[in-house]
Amino acid sequence: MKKRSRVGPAIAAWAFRILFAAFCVLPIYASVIVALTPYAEIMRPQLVPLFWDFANFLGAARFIAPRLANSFFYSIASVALALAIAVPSAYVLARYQFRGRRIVLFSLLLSQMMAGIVIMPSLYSIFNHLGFLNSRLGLILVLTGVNLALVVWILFGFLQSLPREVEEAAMIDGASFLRMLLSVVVPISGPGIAVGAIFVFINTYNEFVIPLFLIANSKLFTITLSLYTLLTDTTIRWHIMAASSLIGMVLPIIVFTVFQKYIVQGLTSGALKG
Amino acid sequence: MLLVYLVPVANTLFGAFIGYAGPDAGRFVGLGNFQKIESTIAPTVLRTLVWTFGSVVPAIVLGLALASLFQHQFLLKKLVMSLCLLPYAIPLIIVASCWMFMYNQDFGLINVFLRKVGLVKESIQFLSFKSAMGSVIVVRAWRAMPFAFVNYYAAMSTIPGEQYEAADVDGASGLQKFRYITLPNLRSITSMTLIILTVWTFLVFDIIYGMTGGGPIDVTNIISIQIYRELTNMRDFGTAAAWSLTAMIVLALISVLYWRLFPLGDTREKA
Repeated sequence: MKKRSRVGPAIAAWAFRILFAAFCVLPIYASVIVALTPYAEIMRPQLVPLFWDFANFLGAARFIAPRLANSFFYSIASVALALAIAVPSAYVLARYQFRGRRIVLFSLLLSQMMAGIVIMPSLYSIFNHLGFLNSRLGLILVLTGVNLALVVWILFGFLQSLPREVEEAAMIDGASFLRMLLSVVVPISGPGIAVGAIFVFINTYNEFVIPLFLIANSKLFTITLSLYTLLTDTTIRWHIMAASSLIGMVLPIIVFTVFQKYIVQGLTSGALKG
Repeated sequence: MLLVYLVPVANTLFGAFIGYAGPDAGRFVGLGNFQKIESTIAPTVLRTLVWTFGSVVPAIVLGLALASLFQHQFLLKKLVMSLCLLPYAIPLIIVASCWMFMYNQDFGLINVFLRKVGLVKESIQFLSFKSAMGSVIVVRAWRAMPFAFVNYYAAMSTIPGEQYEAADVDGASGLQKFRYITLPNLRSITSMTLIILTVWTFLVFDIIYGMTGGGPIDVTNIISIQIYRELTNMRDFGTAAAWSLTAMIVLALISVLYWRLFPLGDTREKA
């Protein structure tokens, strides 16, 4: 085989990689510059940060900390609720043959195709009739509902790849269905549950449309809603908006980076919407 | 047990149905809701299609290019990969906010750069009547590219190495290998990515709502924005639901078209 110099292509590949990475990072970098600039200097054009003023982050934190806590709470509650419903459902789907099983599986996939905005008018009017608007519980129920199919789907695939002998042994030993689920199925499907939990967490944390329709009380606002109010203020407080954006993206970015391996697997199956 | 989890899913499906069948005051008005919005359907659907394909196609091409740069091991691969996935981690509304700092006339990074380099004297108004649609499309492509990238990256790593070795023996160039081995192997992942991104992008709301609110003068007013407007400004549930149904019909048509174009028979390298 011929020996060719590989230096040229290697440099070109690196140049393109840097170009792509820069394209991906630049908007975030632009926010960092503004977030570090005091309000009086905000109109100053900067390519590299000229000011290193962290006061904006304090101001932003004071403004969005309660909303960040809200988002965190909604996400955790949705994850817990989704798992509590999805584990038994996925188990039944994976282990039992019953009438309509294929239809259920197909509708799981189908519901993944539907984005929030299409169902929001009907959901809004239903909630309006029930007096369920501006309710933490109502919001959590919807957030759980739209993510449920995803978790069931992930767990279903995972459970199908597991042997069923242990469960059968537990059943023969007289364990109840619930007990068998908790002490046999849950422990062995740990990785599947973790993946499902990660995706529901990011999906609910990033959700904007659903709280926009269902929540009007600013005390119950999510981080995404408070970002929206910053974007549409009559006089935009750019410095606070930039700092809030950065604070708001920390959590999903950490989750994304720490669980990158799972995320990459899940992304290919379309687990994160948007 | 089954019921417990079926209820929310069924609720979703029924919700869509109720939306269609339950016009204002509970009376059946037939196509009345559609007649109300008739004159705006064509331009709005057209804008939505421009928005969708204008961003999905570049996102897929860029994602493919990026994935092919990640085929070999290199220094800091994990780090570069994390950076390239960043757009996908961020909530869409924060994506909108970050890009405002790129597009701003006074201190936006793009304008500052162009002025410093001397390419432009006056700042470009990225969100003006003429350029707003192009600008939001770039943002959407930025956000969607990592999804295409990851899909292609995963699919490329499953292409059997022997095919490349055989090509090496035959003395094929890098470009030839890409054209005759890589691309054919990526056909089904391409159609899958295309379908998923199309469906999502078609209904994306946050980016445009955050950046332009559908303006200036409706140039970026896509179906999802219109649904929200009907509901909040006009307080008309019937027309909002009519728009929802319009969106679903158009999406169904696009899906059928895709199925015709890319028969899903070939699932050898299913993701």
